[in-house]
Amino acid sequence: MSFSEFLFRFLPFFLTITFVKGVINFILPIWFIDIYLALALASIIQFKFNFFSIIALFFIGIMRSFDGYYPLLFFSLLYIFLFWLKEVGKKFLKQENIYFPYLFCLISIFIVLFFQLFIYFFRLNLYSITYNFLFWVFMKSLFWLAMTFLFTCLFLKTLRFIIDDHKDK
Amino acid sequence: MSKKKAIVVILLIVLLAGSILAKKDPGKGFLGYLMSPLWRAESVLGEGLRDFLQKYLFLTSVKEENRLLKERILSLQQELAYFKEREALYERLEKIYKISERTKYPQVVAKIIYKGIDPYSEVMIIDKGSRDGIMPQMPILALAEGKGVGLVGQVVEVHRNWSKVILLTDPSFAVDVKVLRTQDRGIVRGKAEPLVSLEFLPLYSQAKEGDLVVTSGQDLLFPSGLLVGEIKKILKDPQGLFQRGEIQPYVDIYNLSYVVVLMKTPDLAM
Repeated sequence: MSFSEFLFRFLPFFLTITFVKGVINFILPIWFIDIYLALALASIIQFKFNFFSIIALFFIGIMRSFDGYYPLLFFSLLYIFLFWLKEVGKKFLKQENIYFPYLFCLISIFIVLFFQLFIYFFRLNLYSITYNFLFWVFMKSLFWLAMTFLFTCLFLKTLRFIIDDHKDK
Repeated sequence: MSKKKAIVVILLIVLLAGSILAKKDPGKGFLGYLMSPLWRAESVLGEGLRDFLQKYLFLTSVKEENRLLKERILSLQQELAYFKEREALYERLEKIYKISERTKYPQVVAKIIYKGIDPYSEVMIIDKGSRDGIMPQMPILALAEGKGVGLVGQVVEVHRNWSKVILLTDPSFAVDVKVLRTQDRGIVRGKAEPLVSLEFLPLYSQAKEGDLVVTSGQDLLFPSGLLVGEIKKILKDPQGLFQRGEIQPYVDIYNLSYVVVLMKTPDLAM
């Protein structure tokens, strides 16, 4: 990502998504989607590993940390780690394969889900956890995973449209 | 892996671990300060849209609701006369026997400017911070429409002009409660779901569905008598030592615009 792409393409898109998400949040208070993770994964796939891509992920991660009870840098570092993981993954998987981005997204969402569930159960202080409750958490996580994956695909297409289509002109 | 990359990875892992273990985020207050105008704009637009949808798109049931409300007013007027008489009697008794201590804490009304979306935690951000006298662990209350005031959550992070609040439904929230009818004590804990858990209710307790649950004041964090919710389900605990249940919070915590911060700090240093 170049500086101009970051400033004139990514940043306005990011701020728009953040604003729209914040507004919809007042109307629909419960969503099982992680919009910021979807945007981060789409950016990881779309952009090359450089300074501005890392800054973009840093911003997304910081905004994500306000959504829950997490430390400020937690998600920024996690997204940058996933970015590095993609670079490593490229060496082991053929990037020509069209399934690579989707496979990477799924693995990444699983990694983030693992971290979130770990923190969730660490904070949860229930005396007795029933199978009903565990089943509900499992279903919720599954739905969250599916919706985040769908939104990642959607953001990937949008980012390609915003960055690549304008680049050709 | 080259030496340089290994150093970067180790540095990332150390930073990640540090960010989890760190108790304070130095830049968070400033970033929140920068973001607060955007959050305010989001809340104004979001609430406007929500009110519009509630006022104009859901008018279909208004006529029927109006008829039911008229009937309700008639029965309430009768009840009111009865309770006025009771209140006068209660006030006289209170003066004579001092049966309840009315401890009043100062209150600050705050606007909710941001609601977090996370399936595993329930937080929101209010527009009052340390400059308004807010401190961590202060209770958050809100008006339940037509019912009274109920507990909403607790302040966890305070910055200069904004604060983070965990809701009743957050996994790290816990409050000592008692069932209003039977006076049995228990602990209410959130689990990131619309209903909260009631635990450690004694086996002999006669609490049943529909009973109101209020704060007991025994945890020294929340004053006694704050409405928490209504029991939806009572079950025997799988461990066999207690009963447990599910509680519907009294306040519709997902559709709030304003909350009240009770300026009460813990009675003892925790």
